[in-house]
Amino acid sequence: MLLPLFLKTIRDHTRGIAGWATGILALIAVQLSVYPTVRDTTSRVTDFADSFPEAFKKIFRMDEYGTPVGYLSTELFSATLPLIFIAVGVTWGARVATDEIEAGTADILFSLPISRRRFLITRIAAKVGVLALLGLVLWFALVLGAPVADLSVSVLAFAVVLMTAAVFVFDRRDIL
Amino acid sequence: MPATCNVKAEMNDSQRPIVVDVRRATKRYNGNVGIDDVSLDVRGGEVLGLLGPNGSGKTTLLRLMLGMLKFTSGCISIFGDDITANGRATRSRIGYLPGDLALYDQQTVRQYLQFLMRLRRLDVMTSALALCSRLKLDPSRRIGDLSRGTKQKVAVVQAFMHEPELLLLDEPTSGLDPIVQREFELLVDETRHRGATIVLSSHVLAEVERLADRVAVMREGRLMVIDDVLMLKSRFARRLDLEFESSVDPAPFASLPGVRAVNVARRTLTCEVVGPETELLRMAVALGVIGIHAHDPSLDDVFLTLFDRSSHAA
Repeated sequence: MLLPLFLKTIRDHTRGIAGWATGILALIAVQLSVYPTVRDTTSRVTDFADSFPEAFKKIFRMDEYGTPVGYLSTELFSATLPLIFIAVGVTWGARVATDEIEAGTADILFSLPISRRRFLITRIAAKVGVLALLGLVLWFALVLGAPVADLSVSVLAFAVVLMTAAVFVFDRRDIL
Repeated sequence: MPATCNVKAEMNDSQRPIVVDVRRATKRYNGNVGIDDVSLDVRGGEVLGLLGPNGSGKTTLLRLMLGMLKFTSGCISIFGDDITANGRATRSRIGYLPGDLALYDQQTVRQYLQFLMRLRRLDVMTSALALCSRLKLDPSRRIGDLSRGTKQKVAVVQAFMHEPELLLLDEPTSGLDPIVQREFELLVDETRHRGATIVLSSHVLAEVERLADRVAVMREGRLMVIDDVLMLKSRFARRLDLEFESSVDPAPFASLPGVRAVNVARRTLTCEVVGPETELLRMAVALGVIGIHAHDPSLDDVFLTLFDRSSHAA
């Protein structure tokens, strides 16, 4: 891998990372702030959840909606966050090499003693790194925000859930 | 006969190795011709000027030499190695300046040069900064804030900073002011003297005339002519003004081989000569010539005449 190109690609996405991270943090802040209300109205929430079709309840883990894990699964990890990460991945991943070629900056890069294969691998690795950075932001936000919202989920559980979400995102072939 | 690329560096009469060897190279883009059956070689320490109008295939040829494009047919060997087989190692010995320049606007000049050095796994910052100073380029400035000409200086620095053995320069003085152009010409001259080989394309014929040992003229992807600059010029008409003691009859001059456009105005006879001038001078001396003024054809004249001829032929 070409480390200077990897680091430069990450740096080039600084503004994008900041923008998406702010959005994710805002989303988590809203969801966590609502959780105490959901927890204190468990019976009504359960009645509400029961009104959904069985398949829908299974997909979004609505049976456990009143629990911390169920709440986060339904509100964040079942659809919203994976969709956000897919959107980020597709936006940045689709132009993994074409942006340099279209801009013309690849002309000088390809005149250097580097192979196109290494160039492509480095660019893909950097884009994956950018997504991983966003994942880290999300993980920190949940780990730090959960206690504030009186939501007891272990750090490890967050990591497992995030990894699962990541697998879900990377399983979408269009990202690479 | 199919072209082969396994010939290691040969020596010519002056024992200079062939650095660039292009054999019957053809590149087509979706049926359009980039270059068509081009063959040429460039020897070590030589400066070859590529001339031709836009779309004549100069840039395509330079990109093929770098291994950035794949041939439709033919081959190119650089330093004796097939560029398509050993491109990575070969490119470490090449400096390239692209014609369509695009740099990273958000970086400073120093950051950009450092970035390229790291990718080359070289530390040549001292040399790079010396070049910046020579071209009056401030390395702390953001590239996005630079003018077109100043960006071109960055491109010159990145091509020369690692003292490559071969430089492929695509319109290198485009956008440079005359003072920097002069400095660039000195740089090319010094680089040639340290033994490097240079292939440069340009529209500035006077510049090519000053810098190049040989000139290759291209048109519509084909190599029209490649020759020593002086030899090329000698193939085109030279204008002579002959001043006599008294008026002179132009008829004997007009009948000489290679002499044309003979005119007499008072005591001065003007004519154009292609090839040896021995007979003309002998006759002029016999008729009492007292002064001779010769006007060599410029490369502009050669270039324009070539294109004029080829247009008429078409």
